[in-house]
Amino acid sequence: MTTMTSATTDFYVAEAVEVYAEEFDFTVVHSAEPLPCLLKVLRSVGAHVLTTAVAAAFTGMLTFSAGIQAIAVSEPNAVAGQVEPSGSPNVITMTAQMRQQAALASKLFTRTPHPGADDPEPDYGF
Amino acid sequence: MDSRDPAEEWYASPGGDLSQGDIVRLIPFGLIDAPLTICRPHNADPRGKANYYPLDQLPTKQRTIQYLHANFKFALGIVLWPDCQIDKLKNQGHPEKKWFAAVAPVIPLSELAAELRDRVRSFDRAQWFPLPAKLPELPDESYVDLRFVWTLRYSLLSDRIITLSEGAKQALRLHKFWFDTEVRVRAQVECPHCHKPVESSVLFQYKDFGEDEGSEE
Repeated sequence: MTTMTSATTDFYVAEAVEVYAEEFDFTVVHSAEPLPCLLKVLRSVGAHVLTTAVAAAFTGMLTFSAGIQAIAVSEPNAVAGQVEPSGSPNVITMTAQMRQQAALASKLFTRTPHPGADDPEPDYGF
Repeated sequence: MDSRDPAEEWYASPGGDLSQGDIVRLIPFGLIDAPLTICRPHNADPRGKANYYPLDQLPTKQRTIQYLHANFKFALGIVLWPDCQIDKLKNQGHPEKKWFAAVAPVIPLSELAAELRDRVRSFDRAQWFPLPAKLPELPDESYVDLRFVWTLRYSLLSDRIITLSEGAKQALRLHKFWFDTEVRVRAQVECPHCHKPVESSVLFQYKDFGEDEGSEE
């Protein structure tokens, strides 16, 4: 069963603390029904994530914690389905969608370390 | 044995219209410095006198166009926007002088410290995407500095010398995704039913960019 908790606080985190993707597992991932065909699901997930998670990440909405690298796909959470807003999209439907994207991304993507922190910077003269 | 120059696979001739992956000559790249400095020319002529103001001293009355100063250098540049975004303004009937697109600079690899160059060639630096040299269009082995992205008018992008192949464009897109998100696609995911690993490559529909990559469908 999907448990939707308060929506209005999930988009933003005070003091620039990262949004941890695994926090969304409880509300989205475990609500899904298993699917008979994994490849079909995964392709659907892949297409979905590439368009929406990329957009979310590009806008700076999401970051992913360094502690999620070993997460395996426990449920094909994509089959939780698209959010069906009853009316105009609002922050509740937006937040539900955001949770789905975060959960999907946490399964498909792995956080990379920060290589290059000590790399010499090229001198462009700025 | 294939005697072609491997760099040939990276590039193609530019098409008729500006396109993602096009490499163009003489683009400015740089950054907007602080404090912000606003320039207000006395008239529309780009030559002549102007007034300069720190932002907090800017007169509220504005009589002419105003510009923001930026630090810049000239370099080769590469077009980053996808084609549909580039063409949108054109397709909507906006005048050409209003069209714009996002670019990043293409810098000779020699600008980087020697110990970094192999790492860039190995796609091991998210902020720098490698570009092999190709004579005569791109004589220097180079890299795209994805940190210096800004938008330029279409007319500044007219001197196109070469473009990326479809395969190289795809690699650039994924590299930029890595830079922007700090995440990469997992090589494998676990099947929720049988718990066996599944190659992530089956998730995505690839075009056949090379001899070794088959189309899924």
